[in-house]
Amino acid sequence: MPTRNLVLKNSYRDSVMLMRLSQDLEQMDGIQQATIMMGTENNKAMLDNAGLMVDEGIRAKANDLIVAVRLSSTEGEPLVIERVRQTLTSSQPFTASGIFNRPRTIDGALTAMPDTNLALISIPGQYAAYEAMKALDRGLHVLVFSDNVSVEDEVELKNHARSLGLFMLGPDCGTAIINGVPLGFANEVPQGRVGLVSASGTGLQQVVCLLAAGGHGVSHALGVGSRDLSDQVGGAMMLEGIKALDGDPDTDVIVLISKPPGSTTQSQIALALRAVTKPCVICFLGIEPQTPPIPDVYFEISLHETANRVINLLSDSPLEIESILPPLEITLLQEISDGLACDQRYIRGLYSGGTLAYESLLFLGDLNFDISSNLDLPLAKPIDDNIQRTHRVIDMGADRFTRGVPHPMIDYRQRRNHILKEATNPEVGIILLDVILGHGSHPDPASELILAITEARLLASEADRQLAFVVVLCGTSDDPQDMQRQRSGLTAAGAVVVSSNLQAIGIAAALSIGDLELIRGWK
Amino acid sequence: MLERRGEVRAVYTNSCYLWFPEDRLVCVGSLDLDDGPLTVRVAFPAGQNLDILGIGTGASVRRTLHGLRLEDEVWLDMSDAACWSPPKIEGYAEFTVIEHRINSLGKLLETIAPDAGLAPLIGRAASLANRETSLTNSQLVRTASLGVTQLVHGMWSSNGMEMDRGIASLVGLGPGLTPSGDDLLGGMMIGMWAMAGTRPDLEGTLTRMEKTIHRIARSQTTVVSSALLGQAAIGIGTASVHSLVQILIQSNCALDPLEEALRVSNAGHTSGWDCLAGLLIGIHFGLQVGKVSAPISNNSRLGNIYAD
Repeated sequence: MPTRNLVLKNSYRDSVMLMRLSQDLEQMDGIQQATIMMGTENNKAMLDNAGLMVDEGIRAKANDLIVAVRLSSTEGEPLVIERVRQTLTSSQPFTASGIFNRPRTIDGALTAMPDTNLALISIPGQYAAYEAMKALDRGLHVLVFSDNVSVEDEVELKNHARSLGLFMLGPDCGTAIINGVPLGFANEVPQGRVGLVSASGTGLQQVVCLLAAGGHGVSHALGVGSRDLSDQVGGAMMLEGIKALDGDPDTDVIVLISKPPGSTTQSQIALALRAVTKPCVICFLGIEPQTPPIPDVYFEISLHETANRVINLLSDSPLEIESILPPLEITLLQEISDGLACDQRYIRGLYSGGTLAYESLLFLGDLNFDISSNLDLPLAKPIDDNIQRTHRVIDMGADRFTRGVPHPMIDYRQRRNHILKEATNPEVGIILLDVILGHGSHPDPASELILAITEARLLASEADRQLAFVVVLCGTSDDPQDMQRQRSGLTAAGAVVVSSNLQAIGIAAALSIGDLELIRGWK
Repeated sequence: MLERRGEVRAVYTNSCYLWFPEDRLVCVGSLDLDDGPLTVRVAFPAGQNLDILGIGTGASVRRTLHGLRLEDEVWLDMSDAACWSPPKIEGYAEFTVIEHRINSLGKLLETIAPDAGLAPLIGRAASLANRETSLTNSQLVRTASLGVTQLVHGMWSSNGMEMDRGIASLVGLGPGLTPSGDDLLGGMMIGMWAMAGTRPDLEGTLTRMEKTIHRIARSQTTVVSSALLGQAAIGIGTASVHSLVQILIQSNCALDPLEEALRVSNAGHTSGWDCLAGLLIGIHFGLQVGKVSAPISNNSRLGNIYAD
């Protein structure tokens, strides 16, 4: 089969990109084998030994990139080579020429696009507040994706935004859907009649995905930033969001999601809810608010039940969300449970979403599981690497794990490493994972996790052990990752895949105590 | 007179490489990057990142005493820059303790190391340091394994030419912008320099290797890798690598090496794993050369590398 070398002179692409390019090329029709390497003498010798070196590659120098491809046939060769070139060109890093027309300031962007009404800010935190203020002063709503913005700046920005009748969403706001447009990490959901305001990114994603599974869409989903409901910030944007959605003709039900608010903020929100004219469903994870009942306001203690309530409010007849979601295969779960050894009962929750990890902690804590976590909660002990005989729930999106590396929703390598590490622990039986689909997330998380799960199961089997993997797959059928393919791949690798974090927690807990009756009554 | 002109050679999401004449390279990146040689961590100007600034490959750079100017548009003020240097080893642990630590870490890492790059050599670190070779079906791993064996053999027998051949067979070998062989060799050098604090007579050998690496790397590998390898050749790596070294060889250090090792492994695609493999080989070699502690001489370069 013909072999060709393409040489990119003085090309400095980072290794992860080179690896992805190799994978893309090998999956291309017409290509049997593709290798991408720098043109060092040792690499040219290796390519030569593998029969992949031809004239052009021979002339490459150390700083040149050699793309060596073996074609499946001579048929259509020029077309295949052209597609290879296009793939390489489209992944080209920035060049100095050709981008001086790109606006470099908010004013420049407004000149180019005068009808803009929202600025999304994603720059180092210490400068984000300054730019956010500029944007507000120019009449723009603002979404601050950046974290490391001080709470003082956040308060000032939100007060200023309120005075101007604008939204200041964030900081540390990773998720929003506005007028059907997904921003940040967000799922493709149908447009519909549910409006959400959330101080939790993955909490918001879980609820909108469960709603989408029930055929219900979103009018707007506003992420207000994780600190909005603290007493210092006072729920500034949550309160504005409630007002806006109450007055929005496209919204029939309002949903609020957060971890427990500050006590003063909680009272202010209760007051605001009394004035709302539409049904509201509130999920303040971990607390049942101590307020007198408010008509048409429902407090739920889990994301799953929040979605369930909303679906019922919008349905003509009562409906349990479990009837919409894929059924649990009890027989399979029993087999998995029987395969775990008696002393192999500890759970390891390795979450990319902080809120889902939080919810997991809450419900396992309710079941009196002895848990350690990197989340700072009274019911969890801090993680001590010398103590393995404990359940653990880890938020792998925390700063400690994301310094200098992409977030685990985008990059699965750290989770892979931790999965394999836990597989060597003879007392760990259940590994609990979340996979978040949607824009901004990894394009094919199943492909990475399947490898990790398979490796882990092999490791365990070498020590005559089995491992249970429980995955909460948070996504919709319209998400770019093809949810059905993700589900099939993970199931084929032996994972139990569910769409609800609450279901996943229940399964993990049931497997841990060896009693599936827990799931039957799980609510 | 003190101004130097260069250009941007590569731009990534959070960083870029600046090249100056005589193949001097600087990595300028966000505060998210690890401290390390050649790296300048900056808080980018208000509202700016590399993309918005229009800093692309070929952009001009001017370096003065006080900072860097990119494309006459951006001024990075370095007058208050704080210098990083690797942390000092505050006393070596007993050799049996060090050996136990690296054996335990090696066993754990071996089970989770990917099958890419030179990560498979992690499980063979001890035997490679002891001049044993094990062959595999992977051409890359086999070639690197032979190169390491040749190098180690040369070091044991003080055979300079054999050392040079071993080094030459590793430099520029394997995938990645920093080829796997470079990362492995760099890890070895960092590990051996760290252990040379207990055997100052090793310095002569390491200094010779450093000169060979500088000579060979210039023409045999990428300019980025050559610059990083040049630093590793004098024992300097990134902050997380040095943190791991401390955990492994320092007395009174009870931190978990696995967590730090996993942090090291995150670099690049396989660079981190390749470096880990080399680091373990290097420390193993240092253990096997001698198990007698000796005080660090005041004239030793080690005093400078690990200076406050």
